[in-house]
Amino acid sequence: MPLVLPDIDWLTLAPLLVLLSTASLAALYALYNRSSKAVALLALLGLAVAAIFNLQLFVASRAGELRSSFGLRYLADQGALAFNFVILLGAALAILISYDYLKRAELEQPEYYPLMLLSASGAMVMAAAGDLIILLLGLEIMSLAVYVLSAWRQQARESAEAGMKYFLLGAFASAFLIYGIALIYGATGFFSYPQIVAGLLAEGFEQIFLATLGGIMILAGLGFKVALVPFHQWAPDVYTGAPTPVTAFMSVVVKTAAFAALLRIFAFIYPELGVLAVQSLVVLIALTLIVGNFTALVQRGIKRMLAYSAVAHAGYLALAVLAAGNLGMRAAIWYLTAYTLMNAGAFAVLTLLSDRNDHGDDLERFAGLARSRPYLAAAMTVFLLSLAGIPLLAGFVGKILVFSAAIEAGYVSLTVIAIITSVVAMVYYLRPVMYMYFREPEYEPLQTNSRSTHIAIGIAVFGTVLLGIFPGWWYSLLDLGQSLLAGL
Amino acid sequence: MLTLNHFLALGAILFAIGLYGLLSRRNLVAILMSVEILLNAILVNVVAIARFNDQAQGDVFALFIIAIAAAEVAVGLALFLNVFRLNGVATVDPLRRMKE
Amino acid sequence: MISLLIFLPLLGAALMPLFREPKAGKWLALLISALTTLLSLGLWLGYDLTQGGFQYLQELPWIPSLGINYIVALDGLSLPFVFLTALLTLVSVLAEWQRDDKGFFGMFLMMQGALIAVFVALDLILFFIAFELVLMPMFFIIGIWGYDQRRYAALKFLLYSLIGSVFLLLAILATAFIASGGGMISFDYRLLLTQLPAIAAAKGVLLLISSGFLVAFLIKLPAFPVHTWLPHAHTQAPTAGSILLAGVLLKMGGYGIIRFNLALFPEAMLSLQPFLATLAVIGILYGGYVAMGQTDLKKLVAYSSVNHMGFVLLGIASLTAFGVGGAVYQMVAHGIITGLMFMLVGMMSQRTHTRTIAAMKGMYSAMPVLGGLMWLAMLGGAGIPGMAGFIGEFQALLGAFQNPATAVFAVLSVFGILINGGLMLWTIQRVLQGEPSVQMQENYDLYDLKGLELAAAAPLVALAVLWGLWPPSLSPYIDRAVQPVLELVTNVTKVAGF
Repeated sequence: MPLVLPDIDWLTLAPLLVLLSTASLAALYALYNRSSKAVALLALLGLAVAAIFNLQLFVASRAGELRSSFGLRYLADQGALAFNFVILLGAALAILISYDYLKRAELEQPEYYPLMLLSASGAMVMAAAGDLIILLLGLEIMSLAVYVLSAWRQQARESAEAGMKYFLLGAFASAFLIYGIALIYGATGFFSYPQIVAGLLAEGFEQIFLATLGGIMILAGLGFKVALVPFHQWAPDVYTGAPTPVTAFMSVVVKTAAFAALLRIFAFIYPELGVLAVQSLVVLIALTLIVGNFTALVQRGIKRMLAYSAVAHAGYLALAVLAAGNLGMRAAIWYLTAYTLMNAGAFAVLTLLSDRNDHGDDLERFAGLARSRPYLAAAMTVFLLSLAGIPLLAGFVGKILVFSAAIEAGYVSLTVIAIITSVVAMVYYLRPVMYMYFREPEYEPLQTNSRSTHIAIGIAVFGTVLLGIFPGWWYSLLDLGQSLLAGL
Repeated sequence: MLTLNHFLALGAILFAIGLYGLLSRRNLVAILMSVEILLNAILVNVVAIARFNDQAQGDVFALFIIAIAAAEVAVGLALFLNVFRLNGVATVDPLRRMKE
Repeated sequence: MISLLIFLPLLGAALMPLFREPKAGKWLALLISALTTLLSLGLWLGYDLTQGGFQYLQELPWIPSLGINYIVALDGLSLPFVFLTALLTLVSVLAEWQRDDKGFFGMFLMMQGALIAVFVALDLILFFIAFELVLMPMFFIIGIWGYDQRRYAALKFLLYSLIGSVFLLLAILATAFIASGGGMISFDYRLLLTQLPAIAAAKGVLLLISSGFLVAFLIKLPAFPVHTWLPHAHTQAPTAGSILLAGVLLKMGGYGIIRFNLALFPEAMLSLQPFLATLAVIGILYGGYVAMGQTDLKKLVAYSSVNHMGFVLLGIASLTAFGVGGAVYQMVAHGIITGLMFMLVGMMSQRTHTRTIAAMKGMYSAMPVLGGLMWLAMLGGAGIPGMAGFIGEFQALLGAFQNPATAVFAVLSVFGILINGGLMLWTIQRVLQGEPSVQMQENYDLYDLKGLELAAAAPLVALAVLWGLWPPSLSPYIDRAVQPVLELVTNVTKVAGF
């Protein structure tokens, strides 16, 4: 077999390489200088530079330039690039939230930021993957860093155990994913998406059972990462146990990356597999919507409620995955953008309200917040209402987009379930709002302030409102046009 | 004569053993070992498929799996040590407490 | 011009937090609501009746790739409601002048903008957004500034409405998808009207979709089984909240049924006719009956609203031009008269520190002006000739008699008029006549209406009498808009061979 050098388009790799080198640089720098301020700034700078490269690629791809590396295995089409923006935004918000928080909680170790960058770069690899091995690599790069981050509060049992639990179940899910990849490889003999599809469509193909089984296993593996019921059990414990900024990071960046990967393989590979593969996702979505929303309803702690709400939102997003044509892809990217802003924003507010050990997120703590901390209460209201899907906020438009994509794809009854459960969701999102505005304070509120967190909250509020009132511009930018894999 | 299906069956059996271990063991180290068995089960599959298809791709994937397994164990043991230091025991029982 | 009506109040609400001085809020609210009232009056006078149809049209792209656009216009159906919204907001601001709370007035401005948007939106998604947006300020108004059980009332109000909205959203999406026929999707109301055959062709789901719209609107109206949120919301809301709730919020339901159910699903309306008429009669009789048993004056007025809204539903269910026109007339009249009634009840309970009917006695002799206006409002509520309520009720009933299918229901609802009339007279007797109790006279300062309060009541009284004595100032506009909608219905009837 002759040795073929891979074709590498360095620009497509630039955002990724920037993040990786910033992470390494920051980790090295942290060896000599324990100032976490410098490292945090370096990390933000790295994210900004990566975003600039990403923007350049995005502009080029809108002009019709289709770029990729390694023979269509690392894609820089508009879908991947839009996801990169969302990932970079989520990581930047998480870092802004983290900075003062870590100081307050006495968890200040500069290695935190390189880990976050590494995790974000893994997420970008997942979004760009056009090959199952690359997908797996991205997933592992992303996950290993997050396992460590969620156990960052070394002295606290909850955090250590959250990390351990996340790791064990994550390794379990990875095993399923790898097994699924192996089965698809066994059936078709290939790893890259175009070749797999070609293999599945080839005449005389007999291994459809093996391939479908592989598809279901991959779905289970990725379903774990996005917390689809019944693979969601880790989510509440890990979300509550991990330090709040890490929870914010997990809930937005990890979810975005896993959905990016899921969307791509669902758009290209799953239609060619047996119906069972798609049907199993339908069942998972129905379960997720019902279990996620109803369990969130009975939670008293806000952080735990937000964890279950994250499960429920995974259900709405998976609805877009089902309709994974152009419309579904656009809807999902839009939804994830909105979700990143409002969810990260909600967790940011939470860091200012709970004490240094992340305790005190009970509903009662929210009572009368509108009087004691009016701006914080207003921001939290914006995020919660947006998560609930109230009009003129970003979450509403996301829901409309997802629902119309799903109806167009013919999943009407599933959409009905989604819309009805979203009423249930209103109740648990509005409950904290009612506590904040309709009750008298029961506790002396913490007067924690932090400039960087305030910046993050400001960005999130601004984005949530702007996207809600003028959704058109971002949505029209997501007109994915020609995808690299579409012409197969 | 050994066929591909024999290897796939062996892989499936090993995977089942790993799964059983993961779900039934209480000791964290044993659980970590079960994860390893899971990954090795897949490894058997992949190598066999690569051999029977006469492709290098599968072998490369096998190498990736080994590397990933190593990285996972490294992180896993670190997390395990942390839990062990705090709880003084090496079982999953304290983890259950979080479920409330 | 119309956009100014929507965005001026919204802008005012957005500016509210910038003011340091708490008093500035009410002045800003007064200024903006006075401006919008004048503006809407100007638009009304400028409306070309001979031409009819949608005027002052404004179209802007919003999310063009999804067929969602900003389209607003006025026709004879929306004109009275837009004016009513603007006027009642102005009146509410005057009625709550003693409050120095920016947030309170900010919420009112936000609600005003959203309400006007509901009545002028010609894009179904825009309509839905406005429809939902109305809920939020009302939720906060009841929840923050309401009485003791405000949290429960606010949540109940919101949940009922949201459940309705869910079906509305589903129905809107489904309608647009069916009408698009696989082509470019659009939520433009005028475009959907041209696609009626395509919508009607979807026989299997037609009834389901139109029920989706109907459920949302019946909850808002409110019709009989889903009315239970109303008494709580009314009793717990502050006075101005009740004025807008009864005066305008309920009207979104009737407006929606005429605008969307009648126009887009005439066939489904025809098959639902007996069902709607039944609900209407139950509402009329039940509302009047339950109102009799109330001890709380505000709750009594709230239940009498259920009775009045029953006539609206009956008029619509008659599917005659006369009946539907009467329904709209009744909605406008109810907005004015019940708005006035809630305002007066609020002022009265502010002085007497109670809302219990038994404790209020001889209010007329203690406060002649307030009591006199209350007399007038109660008589208007009873539907005596010469007041606006009479015209609407009478016309709706007549319409119901015209159609043989609803004549029986019309006969039954005549009893409702009797119950309601008796209720109002009995209430007058209990609250207004006689002498106030000694304890009341000693403990509380029963001062009569002051200048500002009088100014708030005056326009409502004037309109209630004007539209009672001179219907041509209102009904031609309504008829002009209702006629084309009912032609759609009669077309269907002819085809079906009735």
